[in-house]
Amino acid sequence: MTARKAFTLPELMVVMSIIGLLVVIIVPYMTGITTTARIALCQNNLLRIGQASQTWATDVATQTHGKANPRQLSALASSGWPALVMHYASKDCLTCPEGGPMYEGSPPEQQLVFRTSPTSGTAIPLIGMMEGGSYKVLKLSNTQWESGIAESARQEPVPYIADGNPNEYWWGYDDGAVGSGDYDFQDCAIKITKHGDGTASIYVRAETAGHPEIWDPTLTTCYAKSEDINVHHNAGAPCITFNLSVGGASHYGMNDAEIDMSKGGKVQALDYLGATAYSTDDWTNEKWDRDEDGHVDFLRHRGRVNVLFTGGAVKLLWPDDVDPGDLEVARELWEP
Amino acid sequence: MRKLSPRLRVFIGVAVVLALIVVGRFLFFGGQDTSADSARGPEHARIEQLRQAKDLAGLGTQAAHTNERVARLAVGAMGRLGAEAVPKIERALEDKRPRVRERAATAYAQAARHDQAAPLAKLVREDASPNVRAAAVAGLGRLCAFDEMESILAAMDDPDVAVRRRASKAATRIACVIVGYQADDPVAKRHAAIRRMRAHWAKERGSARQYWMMILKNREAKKTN
Repeated sequence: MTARKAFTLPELMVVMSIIGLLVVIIVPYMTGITTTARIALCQNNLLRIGQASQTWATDVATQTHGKANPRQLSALASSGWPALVMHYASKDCLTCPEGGPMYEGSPPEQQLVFRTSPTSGTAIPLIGMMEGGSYKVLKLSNTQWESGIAESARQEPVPYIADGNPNEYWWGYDDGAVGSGDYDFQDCAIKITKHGDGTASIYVRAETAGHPEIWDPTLTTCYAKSEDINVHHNAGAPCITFNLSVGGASHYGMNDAEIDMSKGGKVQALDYLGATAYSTDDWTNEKWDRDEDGHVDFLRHRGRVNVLFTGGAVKLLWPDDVDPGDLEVARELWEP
Repeated sequence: MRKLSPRLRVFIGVAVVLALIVVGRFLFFGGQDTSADSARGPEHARIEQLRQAKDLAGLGTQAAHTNERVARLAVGAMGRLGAEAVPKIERALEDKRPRVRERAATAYAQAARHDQAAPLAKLVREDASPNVRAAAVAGLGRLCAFDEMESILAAMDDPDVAVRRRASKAATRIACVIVGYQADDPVAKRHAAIRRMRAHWAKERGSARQYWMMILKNREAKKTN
């Protein structure tokens, strides 16, 4: 009879304990490696955003025969910058692997961005409840709009509540000049109906408050295919041409201080909640405040933040090192 | 006693070595610490502990610490504790170190109510450090301190550009109007914009006050709930 070569019980127990010890050693390292990889991917995204925005700035300078001053390229410092960057880089560079869901509440639909010209106009993103530049953009359902909530929503944020027709909703614009009770030339409201076949209808309501040259108060209907939308004035006035881009949402925030892109060392973009950082709210911006658990709510990489600097460098920093609420930091890194 | 098989002896040897590695790692390196606060240094961790324990007295002591970083961290942590920390932060507003006063101004605006804005307005008018004045005027904006609009308007003509920039933001926020003010514009242009802001404020202060009272009341109610 041949002797059996199988493991004995003590041997098996020891082998199990060895496997357990290996797991104890390896798992934390594996977790660390995953986090490091995500941080690196995020840094790479910011690098690509930096390169794309530099290319865009060069293009604008070329189109304007060198007359454009990089510091004056306000479109890049507005909340619509993702749409501009997307012309020069793929959309995936706008998504941080540790960024979480792009929006709260509202469905993460295609983001629509209006620009007054395809390459250089100011981009105004249409995102539910997103604040950017001096605008507050509100997404409201038909029912919400018609129940008169739009006026009060201009003063206090109102969450979007779908009313059974998710393809039809209003976007209300507010330039921040609340309290005076009028729509001025920067305010308007747009109703978008998506038809599900790649086309969309758009209805614009605007009140002029003394600026008839910009908006016609009788402006009513317009129509569009998926890309270019012409908004016609009833009175036969010249068309205002909008370019409708799809996409543009981002996990990153751009410094909207209109910094000089040709010099290095200023914060250009970073991990953030909201398309723009600094002057939108800056010191009043509770995003930089620590919550009850001591965390700054937009930080992703184990409490740190990836920062893209003008000149192309990307660094992983502690929030205090880049907090615009610290005056020395603000002067050194954020302000023009 | 039965003799161990050679195979078992090898296994036990490997297990002992691995166990030593694990024990050594936790004994000498404290394991893998994923806490951001610990990684940022012992001072940060200590202040964070005090904040979590809501130890206002402890934070108050730390706010007077000779190490400026510790004092700033403590003052910042008090700002997150809300209304009950206001008296202690007010004391830090008088610290002799400008960097601490600056952080205290920000923390004060975080913790106080709009009708407690007078100490910040005093800093805006009197502090020698432009960073402190800037933080204080920003705090007035954050508090929506409509009763201190005069100090904010005066700060729009401050010699320091950062103060002017923040004063303009604060005024715009409170008065709900954009008057075309740029902090780095030439003096004459800035003065013209300040005059427009003053004129608007003279006309609209009543409605702005009413508006902010409504907003701030709603905010307080939300906090209470």
